[in-house]
Amino acid sequence: MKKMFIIFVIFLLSLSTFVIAEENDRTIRDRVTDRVYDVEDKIREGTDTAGVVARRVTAEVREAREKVSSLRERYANSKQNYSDKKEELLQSKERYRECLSSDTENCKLKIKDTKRNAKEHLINSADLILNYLEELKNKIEASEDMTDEEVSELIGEIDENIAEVEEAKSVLEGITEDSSGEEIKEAADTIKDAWKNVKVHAYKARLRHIGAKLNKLITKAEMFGDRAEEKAAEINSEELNSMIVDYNSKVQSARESYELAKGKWREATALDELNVFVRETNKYLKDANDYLKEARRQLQQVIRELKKSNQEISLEVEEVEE
Amino acid sequence: MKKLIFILLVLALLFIVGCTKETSQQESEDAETEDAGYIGDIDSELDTSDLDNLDEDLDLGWI
Repeated sequence: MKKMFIIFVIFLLSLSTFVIAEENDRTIRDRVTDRVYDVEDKIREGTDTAGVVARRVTAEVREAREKVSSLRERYANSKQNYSDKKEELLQSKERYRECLSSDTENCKLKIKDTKRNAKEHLINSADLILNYLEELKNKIEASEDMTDEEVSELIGEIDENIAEVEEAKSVLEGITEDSSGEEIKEAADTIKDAWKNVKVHAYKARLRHIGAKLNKLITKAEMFGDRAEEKAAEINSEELNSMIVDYNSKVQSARESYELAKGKWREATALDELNVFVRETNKYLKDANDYLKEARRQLQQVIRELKKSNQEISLEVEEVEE
Repeated sequence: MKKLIFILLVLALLFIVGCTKETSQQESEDAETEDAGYIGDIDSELDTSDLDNLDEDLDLGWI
């Protein structure tokens, strides 16, 4: 009887784990589905021209969203592989140099070993770039913040970049432990050149993707400011009006920083200036985000102030298809 | 033995309650991030440090 009880308790414990896992999975699935249906409904009903323009949530967008975490994980793994092998290769550098002028069996093995590691390092580098591009492509495909044209343009460029890196990677596959130093250097140059060609596009695509997110958030913040102004006109409170002016000024600053960022990433065309442009663009994008953060805090105060007069504004925004 | 079974049952209940609470906290955190009005972790989104030095790492002139 006691044994029966123990088995029952263990069964209960195991069952609870499955139930929770299932519940968790279902909750996440339901939330994603609800959100998708919500956006779709809004799009169908969407005749409100004051809404924020969003991309239609198609099957492709949904599919891209489902792949986000697995691609993120894949990129993280390739980053780890890349770092480990790079470290290993760097550690063998000194010994390799010494061995070049030696004929001992140990040195011959060391040289072969280093060349094998060099090949793995180069292939890991190619995989790192490819997984970075795949993750970026997926983020853009899953984005609701860009227009279909922007998405197509960027995806087209990324696909070309992926093909270029894949081609360079195939050259790396030809390296063997008997390849000469010169052959390895040439193969390394192939992937290096491919990366040089890809880097500008890839970095710009990332900046445009984040910029699009901020642009949408700024547009929404501007709409909230208009709504607050409308409500405040009915109340006529100096304190509230001043809060809204402050809020609008922060949103305006966010818009200005965003426009500066946009100007910068458009300017970036050459690799040698890329780091400077990226640094400056990042700064403007962060500034825009900081202003949005401050604006949101101010908006919360505005909402509290409105509530005192039994007024409220909606933070829901119609998302309409372009 | 009955005590042991009772303790196990209580532990099972606590485990279920704990997990449910964690799930709901996670959900509310997610909802807050979606509605924050700004990008929560812009630094990591803009971070390209993994690739910034790739040009140098691909330089195998010493081989």
